Amino acid sequence: MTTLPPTSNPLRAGVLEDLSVDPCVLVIFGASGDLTGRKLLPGVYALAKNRMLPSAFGLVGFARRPMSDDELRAKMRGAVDKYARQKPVDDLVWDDLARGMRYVQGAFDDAAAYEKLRVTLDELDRQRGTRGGRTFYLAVPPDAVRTIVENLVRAGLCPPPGTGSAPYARVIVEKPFGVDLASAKQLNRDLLGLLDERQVFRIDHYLGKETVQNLLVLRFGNTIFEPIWNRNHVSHVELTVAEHIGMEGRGKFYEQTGLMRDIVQNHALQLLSLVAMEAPVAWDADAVRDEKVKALRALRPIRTVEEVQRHAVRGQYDGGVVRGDAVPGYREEPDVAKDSSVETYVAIAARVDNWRWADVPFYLRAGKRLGKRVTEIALHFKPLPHPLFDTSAMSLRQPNSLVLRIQPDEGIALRFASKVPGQGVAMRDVAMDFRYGTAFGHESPEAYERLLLDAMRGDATLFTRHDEVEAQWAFVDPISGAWREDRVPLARYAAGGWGPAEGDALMQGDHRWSKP
Amino acid sequence: MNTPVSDALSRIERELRALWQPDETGNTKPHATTLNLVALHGQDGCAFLETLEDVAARLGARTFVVNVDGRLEPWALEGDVSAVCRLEPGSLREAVCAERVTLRFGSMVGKRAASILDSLVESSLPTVVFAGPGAPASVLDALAGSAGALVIDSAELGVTRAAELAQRQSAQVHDLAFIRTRRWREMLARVFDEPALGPALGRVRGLRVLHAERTEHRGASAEAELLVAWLGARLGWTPGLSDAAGQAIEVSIESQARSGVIPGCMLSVALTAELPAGRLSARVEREADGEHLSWTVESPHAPTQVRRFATPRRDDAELVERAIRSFQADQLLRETLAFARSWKAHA
Repeated sequence: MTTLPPTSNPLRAGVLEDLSVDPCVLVIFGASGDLTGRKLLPGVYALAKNRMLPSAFGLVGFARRPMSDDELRAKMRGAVDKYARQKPVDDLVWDDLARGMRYVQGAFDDAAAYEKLRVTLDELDRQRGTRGGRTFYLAVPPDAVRTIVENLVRAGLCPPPGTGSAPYARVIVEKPFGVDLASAKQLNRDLLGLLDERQVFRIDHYLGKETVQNLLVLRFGNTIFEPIWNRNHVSHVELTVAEHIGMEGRGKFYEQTGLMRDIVQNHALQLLSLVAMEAPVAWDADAVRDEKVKALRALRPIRTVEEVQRHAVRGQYDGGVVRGDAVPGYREEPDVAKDSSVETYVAIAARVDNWRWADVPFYLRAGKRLGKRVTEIALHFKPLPHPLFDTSAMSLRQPNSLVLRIQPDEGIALRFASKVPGQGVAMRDVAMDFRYGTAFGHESPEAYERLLLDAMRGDATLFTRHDEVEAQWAFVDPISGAWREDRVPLARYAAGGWGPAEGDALMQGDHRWSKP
Repeated sequence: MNTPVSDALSRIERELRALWQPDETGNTKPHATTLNLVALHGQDGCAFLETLEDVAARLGARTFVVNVDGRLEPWALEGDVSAVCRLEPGSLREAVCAERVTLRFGSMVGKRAASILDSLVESSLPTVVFAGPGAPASVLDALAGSAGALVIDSAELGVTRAAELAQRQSAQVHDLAFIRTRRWREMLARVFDEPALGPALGRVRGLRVLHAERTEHRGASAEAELLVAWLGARLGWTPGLSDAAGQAIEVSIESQARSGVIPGCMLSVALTAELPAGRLSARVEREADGEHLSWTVESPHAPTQVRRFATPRRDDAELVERAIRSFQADQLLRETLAFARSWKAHA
């Protein structure tokens, strides 16, 4: 079926903007997996509930497990009942969504299954008016990505933009994007040999979080922050991605992955790039990502074993107490080797070698079984050049910091010194605190909602480009390499604390990790 | 010399300032204000006030509930200040509070509403005026001029008055009745996404709109009129309802008693048009359950297409919130209202 671009229909003016997404079918590969039930379907439901989906919308689950359309609907309804952000589930919204749901059973390398998929998609176009728009979500292990994309292309389901009959076909790829620089490059070569970069949406769900997006608005939508967002005013930057949970059944996965690949290579470096980047020339996907890549490429390499020892720390948790409960050490977790040297904590003192950030340390720390679940970025400003008042308290010598909380309690706090009311000039540090949940009076959408919507709209601004992924791996690979060869000691820390003492020793001068 | 109005105003200002003082234990209520929401209503505004409560909580607004009370002395101003707090979901803890100021004007004071509100709004924040049922016209006119955005409902005001307001105000104007037609507009737009049917847009011959009967108002429903006006504005019809080639378009708006549907809400839209190969007939209809729309298109180019879609439940608070949060230009609404005005004047 050929269709006109929506703008050629004068009745579409002002109507499409409201509905945001062109008619489309979302095809989820790995539909029987955990991610689909926990995040994707609740995300799709929330979009439908909030009327962000077009009425011409369909959803196809594709997986190996035999299942009927009705069984898929029942399974997804169960997941939405359990994990939806807005409860109870609105039956009217759900029923409409469920009518457009289909299931295709097949192996990822089975050409006949893709033929079945094609027939199902054509049928949805006829029944639901989805007009050939396709978004393929690959919620599958990285080694299945190439096979699926090859088969989609072979079946004519994923033509490059501007060719074929479909108005668009996009592919969302879940992390990890490779396991190191070489495999990431190979995966990118494979994907870009089959698809156009504009069709590939590499998802890092951290970028869908409201505060992460607000970081860009804070920096580039205001005039007061950007003039001080540089080496002249910032003393150091702290970036914390802490979780209080341990393995939660993911011991086997962690033994193969470790925290560097699970969190630092992607989430932490993405956050760093947003803090460090220059202003993009425009608010579009490539302009924003160009600047992020430049910031990532400006990261000073940590290459030699000596440099790794000096600028990075890896740790692993022992037993301890978290939120009042005694918890086992990493090596006592199920599916973990008793002599495992996999890191569950990483701290890095990074440098961004460019004019803006020369000599400003960027301290990154991430870990499992830390004191609490918190992700935040703190910009600490330089100390007073000449103290007029009694600044014997440490915090008053360097009173100013800007803290961006990514999770939980998404918000921004600005710390500054204030006079304590009364006689004399006593000072105390206080905070102006902005919390999303309170200021805007309603919950922020889940990261997956935003990212699914953006991918269906074709907006890749909040997705990582191939060169970003490669720059991230290029930074962490030499560090991981030194650790893999056991040439750097593995520090130990008690669960429930804030990591090993070696992590504290990374900080230079009178810099200290803040306690989030 | 102080007047009763300035005395009352000073008291309200003092109470507003005192609202966030620490209590005897030194605690302050957490509070946030993101905009000033000035809500005007008539004497009987219970349902409106419920909607407003919901909207204010969602937006974190300093809310002014304003009406003119004929029982007051002409130069009287009465006001109450309170904190309205939302509870954290699933707990009895106050999550965040915002100010609520209730103002009752004597008949003469109403004319000075803009000056009074000027002293009470948080001046660094945008001001949205929300006209509820029975909003006094003079106060609405006075306040609309200084508002950044105006939320009206032409189902209450009438399409002609809404068009006048939109034409006079530089503020962004949002019309809830027009927002309520969105799904219907989308359904009609969908008919012409098929390229073969595109030429029919210039050859519409008939349009029949049916809405649920209204008992309290005379005349056609605002939603129905706005839908016709939207089509007229988008397709370049003349105010006398003929197309660019001078061909007349037969338009009818009718009502029907229908239980379970809010009076004035649309029940169906049927459109006919000519194509070189024959006749196009499109129909969008609210099903008996009230919760689904059926969409049917018959044309010489394809077998009859029938589809069924859920129609969202009407939630007035959500509509208002959506309107206030909308950063979209209101050009489409202005075009529609302008067409409606000239069409109704011509009729």
